[in-house]
Amino acid sequence: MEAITNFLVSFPTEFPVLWILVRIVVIVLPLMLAVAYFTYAERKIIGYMQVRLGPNRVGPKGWLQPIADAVKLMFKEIIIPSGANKFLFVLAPMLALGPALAAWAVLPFDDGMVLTDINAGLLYILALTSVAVYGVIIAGWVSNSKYAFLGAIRSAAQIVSYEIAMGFALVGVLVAAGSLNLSDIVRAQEGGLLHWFWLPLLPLFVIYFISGVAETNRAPFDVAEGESEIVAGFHVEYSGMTFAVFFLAEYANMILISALTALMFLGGWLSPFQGSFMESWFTWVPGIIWFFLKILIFGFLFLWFRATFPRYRYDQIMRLGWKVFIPITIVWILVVAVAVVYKFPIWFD
Amino acid sequence: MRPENYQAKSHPPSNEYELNFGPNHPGIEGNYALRVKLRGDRVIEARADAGYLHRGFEKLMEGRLWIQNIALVPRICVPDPTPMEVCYSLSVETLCVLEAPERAQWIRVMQLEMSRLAAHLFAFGGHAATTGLYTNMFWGVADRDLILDRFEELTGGRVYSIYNLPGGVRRDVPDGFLERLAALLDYLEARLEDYDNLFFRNQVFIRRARDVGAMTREQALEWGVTGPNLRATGLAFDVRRDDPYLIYDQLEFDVITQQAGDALARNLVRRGELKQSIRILRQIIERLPAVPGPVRVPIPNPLAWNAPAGETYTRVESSKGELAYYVVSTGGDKPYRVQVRGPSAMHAVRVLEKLSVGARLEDVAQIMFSLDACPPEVDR
Amino acid sequence: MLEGYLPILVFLGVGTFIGAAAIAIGFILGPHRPDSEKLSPYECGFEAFEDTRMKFDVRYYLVAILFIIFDLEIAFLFPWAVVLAEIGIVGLMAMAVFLGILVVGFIYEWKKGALEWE
Repeated sequence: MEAITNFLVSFPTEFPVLWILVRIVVIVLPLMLAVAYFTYAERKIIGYMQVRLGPNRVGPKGWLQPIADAVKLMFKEIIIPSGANKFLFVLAPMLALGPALAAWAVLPFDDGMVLTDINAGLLYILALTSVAVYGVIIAGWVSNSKYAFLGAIRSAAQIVSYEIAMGFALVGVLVAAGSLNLSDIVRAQEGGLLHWFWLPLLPLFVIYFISGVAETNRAPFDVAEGESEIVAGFHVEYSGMTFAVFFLAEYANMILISALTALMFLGGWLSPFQGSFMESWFTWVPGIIWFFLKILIFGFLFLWFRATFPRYRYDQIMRLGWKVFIPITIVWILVVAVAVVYKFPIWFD
Repeated sequence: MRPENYQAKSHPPSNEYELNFGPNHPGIEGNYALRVKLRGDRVIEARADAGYLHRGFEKLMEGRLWIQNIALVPRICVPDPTPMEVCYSLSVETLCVLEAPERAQWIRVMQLEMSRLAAHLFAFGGHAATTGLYTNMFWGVADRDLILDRFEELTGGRVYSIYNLPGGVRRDVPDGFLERLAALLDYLEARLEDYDNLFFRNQVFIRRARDVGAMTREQALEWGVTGPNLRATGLAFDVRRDDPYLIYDQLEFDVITQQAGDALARNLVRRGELKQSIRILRQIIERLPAVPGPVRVPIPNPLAWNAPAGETYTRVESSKGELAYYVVSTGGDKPYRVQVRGPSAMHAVRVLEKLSVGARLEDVAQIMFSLDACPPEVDR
Repeated sequence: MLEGYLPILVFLGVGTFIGAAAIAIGFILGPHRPDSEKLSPYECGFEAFEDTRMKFDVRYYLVAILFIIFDLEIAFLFPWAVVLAEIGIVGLMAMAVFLGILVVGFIYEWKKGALEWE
């Protein structure tokens, strides 16, 4: 573990770009694998929740299913509808996937284990998640299909609405941590389960994660691709690998939101037993494991929501975003600000 | 749109546009189409476009012997086939002045209620799926399968049982069937709690379904609405109670009503009817062993069976509403004319068109499924 | 200082490249047999009635306008949030005034019905 950390952090002066590329590959390859197996986990877990087995034919217990899916999609024809702008049609899925991957550049996996430890990390994350909406809008616009168009404008309105709630929730985190650097935000939560920000920022924590579900267009906020209404929404005309890239982007975004929630509210790589009598029992667990476990919790929540909630109606989604989440976040920012200024124990002293 | 005339069409003058809803659409049950005109997100006009599943049943039946038609009728409505068999058998019996033995009547009611349970479980699943909650659909289908297992044991057929015939049913109940049915009912009743938690008490679903596709009792009567959809507007009309057929007058059950008349109310009526069907089946399990007699009266040679001239209108309460057969005989070995008065034809065409107006686009599929309309039965 | 941002630039490139490579693989390996029916937009089995690029509900524009306003507010809050512990009570009061104005505007929008989706 130490060796990997040193390898990732050391920055040889000759061939810097090459070294950066190597380190990026070390992050991206496992990430793509995680995305592939997240789709498998979704089908398995939701399958069991729906009293069926899920994929179990390709490989032992269906373990090779994601690989088979990928290979199948590679050999499928990419259909570009006649009314579509070919360049934008192909560009849209890339615009959706690129930011979902690039955001990992500033995410710390462990103390110091981060590709680049810039001091405006959170700003960068906020910028990238805003870019992701362009993929959806462009896809819906250029497809020249009414269902795609409806899905795109709905999705755009929904994403920007929840982005505000998300942004306010981030401001709350910033106030509490006093830094835009994600590693510093995690370090500000030192001290065990009760010191993590989920407790003092509980409303923001809940709002941030729910907004994240809405940002990724997942159930119960999946009106952008509501199957029974507008068929598949913005990607109704996409096929083969162009569809696969949208699909990858959705799952990569889910993992990203889970990771960000874990970093900002559940103490990232920190052990939950810090400061308690059980701390010494778990010192052998590397921080990156804690981080992955926390990501898994939120990843599971994404799937659980999908199996147990009907889709919200569009006006209900907008009402929730504007009339419930935004007022609560504004109030809670003030509460947190007062707590920080007056050094409220145990979190802000 | 074809590429060649892509530039030619101008923009519509307002933000009104038309959208096809089916026949190739995941939110539509079966092959059915609805052409909706929208302003923004709201439907301002809806036109049902039926006929994709037209197989000409009524005409086909004119070319088949009285008894051959038994194999045809259940195929009219896939999710709820048994009332079709029973109702057709009853109408032929009325024409021929036959009466099925008492034991056969009890078995028929047992089948009808089993079919109602299966159809309602299916209907919830479809309704939930239109709101993106597929879990309920999978649960409903899995539990319906257990009922189909009992159908298989009783009749040999899982969906189309071809078990009733004019004059009774094909054979008696197998040994141990009633015990297994009782165990199934216990399981289903225990399962209802899960359905409540997942679906009927799910606040997101309740908010989705409340005030969607609401109709008043006057509208419902004017549009020919029957069955659970009518009872959801507060009128306790049930053919089983108000025009009893078979042995329904010897059974105890409540007619479930709701006042609101919206999608949620329709669902809650069906939820209540599940319990009533279980209650009816329990009474049958208790009393059927004591009912004596054969399950079939002697009938003439089926291949040379001429029904006396005449006509009859016989109705039963199917899971979707009032189902009736209007059968005319001219004394031949085949029906002269058969008209199926299916509940879905009323619900899926006129009522759906009316209720969709003013609804949001995302609620159109929900309205269709909350009416529990069955496209194969509309088209026949 | 800025060399910390070089990996980000490279990562953005890699992210886009992965998408581009995946689609390129699809173009290379997949068949390519277009016909006019296949290339027509999906319309539930019918031909489209009219052009898709239509006018649409003005409410969607309204959401976009409101978004820009609020997103700017968030951008203003970011630097304040980072240094709040240092600027203390004075900073808190200043931002309370700012947020107060924001809230007044928000209430105005609410009462004007800009947030009504019906």
